Amino acid sequence: METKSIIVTFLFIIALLSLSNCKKDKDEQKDLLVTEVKGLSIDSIISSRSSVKAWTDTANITVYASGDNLTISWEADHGSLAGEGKNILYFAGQCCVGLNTITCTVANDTAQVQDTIKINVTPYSR
Amino acid sequence: MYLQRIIVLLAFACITIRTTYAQCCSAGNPVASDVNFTITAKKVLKTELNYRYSESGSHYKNDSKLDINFMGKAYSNYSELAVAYGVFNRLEIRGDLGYFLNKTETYNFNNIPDSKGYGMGDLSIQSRYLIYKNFVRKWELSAGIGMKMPIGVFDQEYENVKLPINVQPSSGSYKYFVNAFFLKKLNDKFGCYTFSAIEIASKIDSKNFIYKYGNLYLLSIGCNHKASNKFNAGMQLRNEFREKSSRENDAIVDASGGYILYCLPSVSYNLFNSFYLSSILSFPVYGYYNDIQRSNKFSLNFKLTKSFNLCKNE
Repeated sequence: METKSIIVTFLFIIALLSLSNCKKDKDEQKDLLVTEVKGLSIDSIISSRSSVKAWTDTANITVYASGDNLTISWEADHGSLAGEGKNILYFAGQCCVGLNTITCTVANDTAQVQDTIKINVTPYSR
Repeated sequence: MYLQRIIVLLAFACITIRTTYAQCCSAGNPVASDVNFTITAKKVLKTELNYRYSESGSHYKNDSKLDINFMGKAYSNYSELAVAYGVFNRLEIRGDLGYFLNKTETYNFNNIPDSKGYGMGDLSIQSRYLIYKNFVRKWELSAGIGMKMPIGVFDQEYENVKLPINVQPSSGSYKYFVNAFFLKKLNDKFGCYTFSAIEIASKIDSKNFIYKYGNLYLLSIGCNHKASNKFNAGMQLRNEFREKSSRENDAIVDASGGYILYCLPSVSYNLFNSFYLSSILSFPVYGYYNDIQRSNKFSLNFKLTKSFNLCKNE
């Protein structure tokens, strides 16, 4: 019985390690940004601030894009976004201090393009 | 003997480990794990249904309170289903799967709308082994090893805008843990225990996000008292130390990690047969937070436990 328990535990550990190696390949492939395809492009992304203080400031970010039937998506690697569409608000906490990347994806029925903007988050102070 | 078994079961039913993060940049469901330390008997299936409400507290710079008006309340409603099965007399396999009914962060600034995530959290699986049990001196030692898998939602969006990591249901990271549990029963009504655990998180390296949560070191001591045939009360002190997290280029996140001491009073009631209802309150009594972080105010947990003996007819 003892031996069986040890063998099962050993197999369990092996199974755990195997499972953790099953990461999707796509995670290992960083897509290159494509800001323009035929009939669809991101002309620019503008922010009202290049730097925001944690838990104090917000930055208004606007994307200027060309194309028809656009769907606009946003993502920040650190910090929070509020709003939707072409204009959104960025803000962050103390844990996001540093240079952060906001990614905008513009898509229509046939393609999608991406661009980023960097915003520096500085530490909170009274 | 039967009474002793009941006491042990109730005692352990009241013991919980929750890897609680400070709120800022707390990923996904750090609170997914609800570990019951009893080694389930051979061919016994134990099921648990958990519900937990958690709420954030004030911001702290190290151990000093700070008033930061920007942030409102953060809170979550969480449910979890756990199943443990006794493979052999000394070995059990256990799985926990959580679901966030909501994970919400509110703001007091510029009419910013609440951020609210919901969905499946992480899946935890582990194997626990009873290393030694002394029936005469009434003590036992067991250990476990396992992992949490981020099978849940980690890229939730609202109106095509990705929600902040704080409210994503899944942590997005594989985590590995080992733990050890020691129990000493002083008599039929009173038992003391210690529980220690280490949790190591792997790096999240996805398309637009690189992050590694700090490793967690945990030590609990507690005691349990069987007040009557049906009622049991316990108290646990839990000490958590978490290392700092890191982000891209291995940059250290200063506002992460720290040291928190929690108090966890608990009660348990035997509804009928092997059906138990227990409740655990968790609140920090001292915390030292690196840089500035939001603390946890409290969490309240309700748990229903039911065991099924699958070899009854053998």
